[in-house]
Amino acid sequence: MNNSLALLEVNGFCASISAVDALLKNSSVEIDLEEIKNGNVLLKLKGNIPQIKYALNLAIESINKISSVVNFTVLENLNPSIEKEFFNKTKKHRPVINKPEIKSEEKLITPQKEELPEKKSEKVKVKKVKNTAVKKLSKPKEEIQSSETSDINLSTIERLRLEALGKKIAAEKKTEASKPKAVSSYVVKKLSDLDGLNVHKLRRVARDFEEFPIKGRQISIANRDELMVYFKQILPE
Amino acid sequence: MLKHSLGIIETNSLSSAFEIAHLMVDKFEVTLSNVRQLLNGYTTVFIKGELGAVQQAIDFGAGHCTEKNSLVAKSVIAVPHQDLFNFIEGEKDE
Repeated sequence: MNNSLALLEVNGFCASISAVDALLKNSSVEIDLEEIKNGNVLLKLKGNIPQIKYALNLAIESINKISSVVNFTVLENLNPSIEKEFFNKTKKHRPVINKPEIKSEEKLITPQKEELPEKKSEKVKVKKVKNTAVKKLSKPKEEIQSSETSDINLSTIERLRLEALGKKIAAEKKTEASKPKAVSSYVVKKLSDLDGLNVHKLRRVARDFEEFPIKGRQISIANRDELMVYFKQILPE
Repeated sequence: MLKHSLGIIETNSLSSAFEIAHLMVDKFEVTLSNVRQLLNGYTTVFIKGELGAVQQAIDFGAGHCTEKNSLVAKSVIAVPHQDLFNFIEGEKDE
């Protein structure tokens, strides 16, 4: 029956923090802390009645060492509806904006761009540099290969090719795995599916269509009306 | 463990809080953990460091504040509870 609430008004933040520390260490009540407009701090303790009374005495004792208690009350058997109003109301839940999907797309594009020049440079180096240098280059990669393939007789160039292919396959897998997610969030087969979507979502849907008339930067510039015209060309009603 | 003792000092105004925070961090081996202002202007400075250093810093800060009649309260917590920092931070703008 953790449905009792004690309210304790303290003069100053310093005293309230030291009281909270004492309560955290020595009691098992839920604690909430709220600033009031005249510079006092309101401590709210929640638990069953004996716990709360013990905690109140503890808190008042520790507060009186530093500052002063303005007022305190104990509310027993609180109605749940009032409980929701008073307790933990200070923690505001910020609205979560749907940004992660955009981020995932950006992450997908960037690593591919970074990987490609590395592969090219590796290949060029292998062709130019003599065997001794090739061995040095291939040393760290042998560790990866030992887990995947056990063929020791393969030449270094073949190994590099295999690695490059393996990387490409992995990259393709990534893109394949990610695309369906993006599509699955907005399944659009008819024009009527587009009604509820805003411009950003429309653009995202447009990018997912392969046969969409305009592409890339043009989609991000186009406004809602332009996009709807293009969608009408593609989609059945 | 002793490196994370917490010292709290509460002053009348923002300016005196700045002043003692500067002096304390300058003269003692403590770091500024947080500063919070209540709605009537009371400003609380939190410092972290080794217990002895924190105690000395708080004593110095309190002495400096009482000269100007700006001290509201002070305290030192030797081994603060881990959850205590959730209460100190409050709502931070990310």
